[in-house]
Amino acid sequence: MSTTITLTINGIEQPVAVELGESLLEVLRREGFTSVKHGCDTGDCGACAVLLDGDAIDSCMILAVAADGRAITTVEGLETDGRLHPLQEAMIDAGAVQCGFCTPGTVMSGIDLLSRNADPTEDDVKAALAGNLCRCTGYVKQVDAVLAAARVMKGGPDVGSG
Amino acid sequence: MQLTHLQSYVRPTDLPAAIDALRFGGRGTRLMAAGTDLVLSGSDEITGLVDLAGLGLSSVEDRDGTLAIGATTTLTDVMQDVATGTYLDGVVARMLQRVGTPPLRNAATIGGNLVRRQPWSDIIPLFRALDATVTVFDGEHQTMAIGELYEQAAHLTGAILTEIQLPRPPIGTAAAFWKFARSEVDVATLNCAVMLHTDGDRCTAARIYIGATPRLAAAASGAEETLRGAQLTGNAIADAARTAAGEIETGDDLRGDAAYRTRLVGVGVTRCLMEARDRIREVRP
Ligand SMILES: Cc1cc2nc3c(=O)[nH]c(=O)nc-3n(C[C@H](O)[C@H](O)[C@H](O)COP(=O)(O)OP(=O)(O)OC[C@H]3O[C@@H](n4cnc5c(N)ncnc54)[C@H](O)[C@@H]3O)c2cc1C
Ligand code: FES
Ligand code: FES
Repeated sequence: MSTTITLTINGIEQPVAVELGESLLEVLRREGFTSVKHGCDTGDCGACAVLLDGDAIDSCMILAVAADGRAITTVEGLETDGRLHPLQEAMIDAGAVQCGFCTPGTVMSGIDLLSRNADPTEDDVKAALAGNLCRCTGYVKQVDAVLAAARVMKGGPDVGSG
Repeated sequence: MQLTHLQSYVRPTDLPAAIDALRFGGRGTRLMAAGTDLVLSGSDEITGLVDLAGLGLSSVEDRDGTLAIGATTTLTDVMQDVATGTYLDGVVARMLQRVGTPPLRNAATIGGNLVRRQPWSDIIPLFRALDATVTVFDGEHQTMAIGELYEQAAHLTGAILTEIQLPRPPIGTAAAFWKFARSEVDVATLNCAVMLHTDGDRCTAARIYIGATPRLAAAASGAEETLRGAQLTGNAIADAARTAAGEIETGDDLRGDAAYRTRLVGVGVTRCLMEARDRIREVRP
């Protein structure tokens, strides 16, 4: 059974045709937002994380119809005026990206944290990234990147990167 | 596709309409909060969903010392609320920090966890230890002890859990939660929650619940009994832990065998009782 819902994806409100039983993950990928990765499909890996009304959620775990009328941000929508988000810059600078499969989801969890806590400790960052599995980086550089982004976003010197 | 047989989805805006949609929706119709459990179940039996998100049941409120939590409040919203942070030294927030991952907690709801009654739920043993009450709506509102959700086989059929109340703790009360898991984000191999009431130095009553045994959380009534009237010495705590390990029936699954779990019962009860005792001592001048 299909229906049409309204999603605001990366700031653009749009009608989207969906099957009632489809996950938000399946729909976003079909609509071309392939930064949203199809990992475990069991809520364990975080590769499918997106921001739903500002909160990082695993898009494999909720139905697209349940997101009707709500706002979604994916990595495709993070750039402003041709500039990457400070956390994207920090991920590159810190060398926190290897194969990159986990990176979009990790960035979403990092942004969620920074929106709640502008001055996180290392432990806060580790707790915030606990739902994003990475088989490559060993996490250290990812944690560094989030801490560096926090410094940049507060306007301080980016002493952690480079 | 996750729920391949889904034929209808509604998001009513009041409770009577939600109950009607559930009753007239037919056998395959289910209530849905965030849907994390329902979607991952991929169940072919689900043909209709009544989404509870439009009912306005997401809130946390300090009601004269009682912590009232709306059933569709996400775990994150409960965890980060100021009222949760002050209730019994933040024990509920500390427990929720151990549930799943941040993206799960941002979606999953308190009510979904309580109604789904997974045996390894971390929320059920703590809320039972805290002597919670719950309000359900099936055409009328009814408030009952949380235990009633778990003591009836055909629990909550045709009813909506609307709110959970954690009662105002009397002076001299403290609570603790302990979870043992194979990794930071795994579900519990065993968990334990206690609430202690004291009067001066003596324990006047204790509530102890053990979950993931691997069955649903149950009370360690014998251990609770050993503590009544006792001073909270190391010996009294060790006695209670031994009694709990002797009375709680444990079993095997992929996370641990029965003997291992029985050891964990003793460890969990000891740690929770010590933590609760220390918290009571800290606040006493
Ligand atoms: C990866 C992962 C890790 C997890 N780790 C943990 C953990 O460590 N500890 C732990 O305790 N839990 C854990 N969980 C379980 C998680 O907490 C539950 O999946 C979640 O709370 C369910 O909430 P929901 O809103 O998504 O429920 P839904 O999927 O919407 O509903 C679940 C069930 O409850 C019913 N229901 C929901 N709300 C109501 C209501 N208000 N009234 C009546 N019926 C209702 C539904 O009909 C359905 O049967 C984990 C889950 C996942 C996916
Ligand atoms: S694909 Fe969603 S959490 Fe792994
Ligand atoms: S960079 Fe490869 S999984 Fe994280």
